[in-house]
Amino acid sequence: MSQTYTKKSSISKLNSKAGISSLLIFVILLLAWIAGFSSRLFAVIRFESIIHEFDPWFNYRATAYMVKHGFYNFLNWFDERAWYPLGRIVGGTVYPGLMITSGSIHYLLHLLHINVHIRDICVFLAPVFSGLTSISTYYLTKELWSKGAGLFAACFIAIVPGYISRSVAGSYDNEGIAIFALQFTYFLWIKSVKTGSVFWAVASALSYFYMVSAWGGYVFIINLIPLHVFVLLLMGRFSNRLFTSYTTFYILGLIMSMQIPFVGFQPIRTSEHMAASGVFALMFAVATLKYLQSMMSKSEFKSLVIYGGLIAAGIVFGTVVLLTYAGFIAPWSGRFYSLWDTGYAKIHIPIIASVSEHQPTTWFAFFFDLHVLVATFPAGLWYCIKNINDERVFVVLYALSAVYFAGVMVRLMLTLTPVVCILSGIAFSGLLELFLRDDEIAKPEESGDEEHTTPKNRKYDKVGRVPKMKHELNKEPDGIGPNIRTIISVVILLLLMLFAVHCTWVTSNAYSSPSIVLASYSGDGTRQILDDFREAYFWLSQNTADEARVMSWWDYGYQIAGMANRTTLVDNNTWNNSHIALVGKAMSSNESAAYTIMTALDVDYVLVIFGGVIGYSGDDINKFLWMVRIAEGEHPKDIKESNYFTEQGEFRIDGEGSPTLLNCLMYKLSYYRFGELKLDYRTPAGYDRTRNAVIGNKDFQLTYLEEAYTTEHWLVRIYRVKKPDEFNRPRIPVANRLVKSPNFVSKKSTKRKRGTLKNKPVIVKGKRLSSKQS
Amino acid sequence: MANIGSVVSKFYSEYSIKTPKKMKIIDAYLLYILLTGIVQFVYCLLVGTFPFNSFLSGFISTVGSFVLAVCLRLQVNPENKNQFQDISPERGYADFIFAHVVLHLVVMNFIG
Amino acid sequence: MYRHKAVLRFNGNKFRDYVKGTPRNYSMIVMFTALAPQRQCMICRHASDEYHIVSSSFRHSQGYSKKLYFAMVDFDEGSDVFQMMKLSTAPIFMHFPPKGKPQRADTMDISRVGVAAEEIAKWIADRTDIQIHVIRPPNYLGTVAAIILFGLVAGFLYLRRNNLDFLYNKTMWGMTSLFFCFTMISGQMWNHIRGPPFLHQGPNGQIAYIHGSSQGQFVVETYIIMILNAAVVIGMILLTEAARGKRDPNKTKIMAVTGLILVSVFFSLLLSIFRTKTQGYPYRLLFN
Repeated sequence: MSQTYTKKSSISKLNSKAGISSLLIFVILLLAWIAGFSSRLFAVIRFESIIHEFDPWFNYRATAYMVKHGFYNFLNWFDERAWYPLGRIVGGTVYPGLMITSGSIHYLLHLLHINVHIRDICVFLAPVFSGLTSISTYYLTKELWSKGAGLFAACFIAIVPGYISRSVAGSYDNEGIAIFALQFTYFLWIKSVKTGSVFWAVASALSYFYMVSAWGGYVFIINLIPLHVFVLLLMGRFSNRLFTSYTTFYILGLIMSMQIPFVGFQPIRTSEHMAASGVFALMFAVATLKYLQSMMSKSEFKSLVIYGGLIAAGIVFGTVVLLTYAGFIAPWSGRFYSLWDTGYAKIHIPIIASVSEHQPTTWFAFFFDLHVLVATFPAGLWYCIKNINDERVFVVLYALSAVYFAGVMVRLMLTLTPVVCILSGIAFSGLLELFLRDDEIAKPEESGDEEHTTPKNRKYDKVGRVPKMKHELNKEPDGIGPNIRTIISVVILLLLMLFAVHCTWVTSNAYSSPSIVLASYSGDGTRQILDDFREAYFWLSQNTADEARVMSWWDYGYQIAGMANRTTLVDNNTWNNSHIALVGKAMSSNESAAYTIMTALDVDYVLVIFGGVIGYSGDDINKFLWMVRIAEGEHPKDIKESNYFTEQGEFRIDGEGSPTLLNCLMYKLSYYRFGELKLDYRTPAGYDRTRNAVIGNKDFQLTYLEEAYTTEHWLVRIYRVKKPDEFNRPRIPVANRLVKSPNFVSKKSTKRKRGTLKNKPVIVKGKRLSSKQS
Repeated sequence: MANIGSVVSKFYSEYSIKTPKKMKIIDAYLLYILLTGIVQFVYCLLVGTFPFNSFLSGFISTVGSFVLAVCLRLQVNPENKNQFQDISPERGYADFIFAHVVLHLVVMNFIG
Repeated sequence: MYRHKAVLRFNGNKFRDYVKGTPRNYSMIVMFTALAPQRQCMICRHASDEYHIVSSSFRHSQGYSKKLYFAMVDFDEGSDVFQMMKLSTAPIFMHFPPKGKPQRADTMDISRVGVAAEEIAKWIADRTDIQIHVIRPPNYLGTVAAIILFGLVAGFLYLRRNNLDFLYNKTMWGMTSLFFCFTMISGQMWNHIRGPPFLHQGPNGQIAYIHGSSQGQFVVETYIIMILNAAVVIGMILLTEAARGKRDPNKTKIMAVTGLILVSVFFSLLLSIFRTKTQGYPYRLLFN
């Protein structure tokens, strides 16, 4: 089809050619959108339309709340079901962009009488936005290089795993829409730098506002753009266009970013935002000097410009430092600081270090997420530097900073991915533009190749075709023979094909599991769905009291709140470290010590994740050391990490494990009754498949808790915390002597009281409990 | 001292000769905004910044107006014609008004 | 006892006098080490530095008392002590409580927590209830290096102030940024943070350059990856230049073929290394 277009276009007039090329661009972008959308649907097709992971559950819950109660109630929402007994002010502690986006889509669709459930909008939001991302990437690259490179970049970003990892259907998270906002802001910024128009600057500030409302990564923009301006200044590329676009963007962006309640006054108070205001002041200084120079026409002003600029920068820098010391400006927050001082997080903030997303990146991860792009984007970078201009300075800085951040934190691979796509697009289009340019011989081979490739690959060939049309007219002979030319083109197309299949493979294998529904493959290839999480959450929602409080490790907080609709103690919004440490302490203490904590926190149920039966490695025992570490950070007297290791410094759960570990609450809750379970005839009873060991503490009873529910594959185990009057009668004194030795006296005194007052025993116990609580 | 005085007077005379009348109007507007900004700043130093968002929105609106006026001045200045090729003075005014609408909508929301 | 030194050096006799004689009214922290150069104990030196930081922090702190003393025994001065304590490795940190024998936990587990001064202080606080706030002598080295570097660059620029063209040399800037990119994408930052071994030597003497799992990497491995990536990029650039250049045909042909070989061969190598680290990865090019 495109073949005929090409032929026609070479004959027809210039304006119809432009029409056809724009039609081609439209078709290619549409195909990219469709390909990107459909390759994100693996999870929906394999499982069902369901929200994934942890954070999306909170976003979904918040969105559902907003749709039900309206926007203003959402902003004032105090959620008493999280962080019991503290609660959480949700409206002021979220980036509302995501909820507002899907809420308004929902509203629009309902205006048109298309009744879509809000859940489906949430599930499909990220794939739809990936199409918008690829379109804005196209425009950005077009501004930077050429249309052909833009199409390449758009197709790359549509299917690159580094971006798919955060935008599969069902992963309803901030990043899904934020990358679109990021690319779009950059596009508008480049546009405004090129034209110097206030309109584009305002548009880019508006897009920045959307980004601020959507993701904390907006800090990246507000540092990168000033950096761009600053480097341009250093390069002596100051122009009035730059002045108009930056000053307008900054001042509007500043006041708009303060409209988000969660951001508040941070843009003028924290160090992260200070670079932007420094550059703002610097721009004014430079512009004034330039103006004076033009008025007075003296050659000495050239040096004055430089000195004045330096002095202004020095003054601004000094003021910032002074204000920081004086306490008006908060210093860098921990997460950002850990980007610069790479050893910082490990020592000071275990809760950040415990998240696997905050680990540094291996080369494997780079290759896994970017494949051929990681090996080719430096070529694009090279050409950008070689043919530098105002806007390419930007993409160079973007690439260098993003590649650094991605090296420090796996999670920031997400910000690297778009720029890698842009630069690889530039590299590949530069190459294919030259190689597919003329030879009549090469062309039929090309189209033959094109016929029997999948639709997804076809768009690469098409992309190669667009520049070809442009250069069709200026044919010229050159040194490379047609054969080599063909071979090279085929090899390049082969690489791109390999990239496409790699992306599909990675997406289908690594990034498409919802992680609340697990799939396992048995020997004969049949698939088994393990739906234990939802089973457990459903049990909780049906069989427990509405105000029951469930204690679990923070990973599962959002899911419990979202699916079971029960009150949780800690959740994935890790704002209160000491509260998390308290839960960690309860999990790592022995049963009776844990019981005092649990009664103090009014816990009704305890939920643990146990993977020993099916060999699920992400369970609570494997996370246990982090609980211990976080607990130790707050309660160093009671919890010591070394107690949980054997003498050889190993973490073992079998008979040689440390006794502290074998008797802590988490261990007992995970392995309660597990010693009786014989999984198959080859292994002994109580064989833990995740850690490949027979557990060390098999026969024990629980005193203060009782098993309430265990799911089909034992993945989720729920225990009910007994009320004080439910213990077996003979056990009470034992328990009291073990833990509550200070209460022993008070108990005696109550007994004495009972002797005089003749109260009923039950009431006496209630009193004892309250005295202990206080 | 005399040197600086002579420089300033020279600057002033050159300014009054070279600058077109339209520019002078904008310059007067700029001066007015600058004075407003200084008054606001002095006020905040003397009285305090208590409703912080109100102070901020006022101050930022001043700064924003200043910035936009400077941009307008740059764009309509015939000397800068080669730098802003596809921006006519009319387009400059339209952009100026558009940016002001956005700015003051936000300021009104923020002033609380 | 010696009051003026933060860390006491013991030989066999002194060790018996001051440490083995119980009961005492003070706790002893003893580092057993081998600092002599011919012992070639790198970690001993490092551990000894950290240990001295802790002891001098204690010496100059508010809570300085006679309840705690720091001592060290060098193998070459008191090998009999090592025999007496049945020690075969160094360095070892031991705590000798005022009464009774040292417990298991009185030996610091350096294989797990390391030898950082903060860890030593934490362990001492754990064993003796004496909190030591570690005050490191401020490390001016970084600042000084930065100032020197800055001064050199500034001086260089000043000397060449009439000929600053090299600053506009795009090739230099391009090389620098490409090198930076290669450093990052080959995972040098991971090496910097995690400190993996240079390469792995198996029990039978076979040497592994590539880490078997996708979670880890060796230093050599990252260098290999860096070279492979760079080769692919050079190939890409050669190809483009060959097609663009208007030089004599032979030269462009050679350039094109070289570029093609570089891209295809080195990318296949990259892919095959990737395959060895991924289970069940189905795709390959040229090599297995």
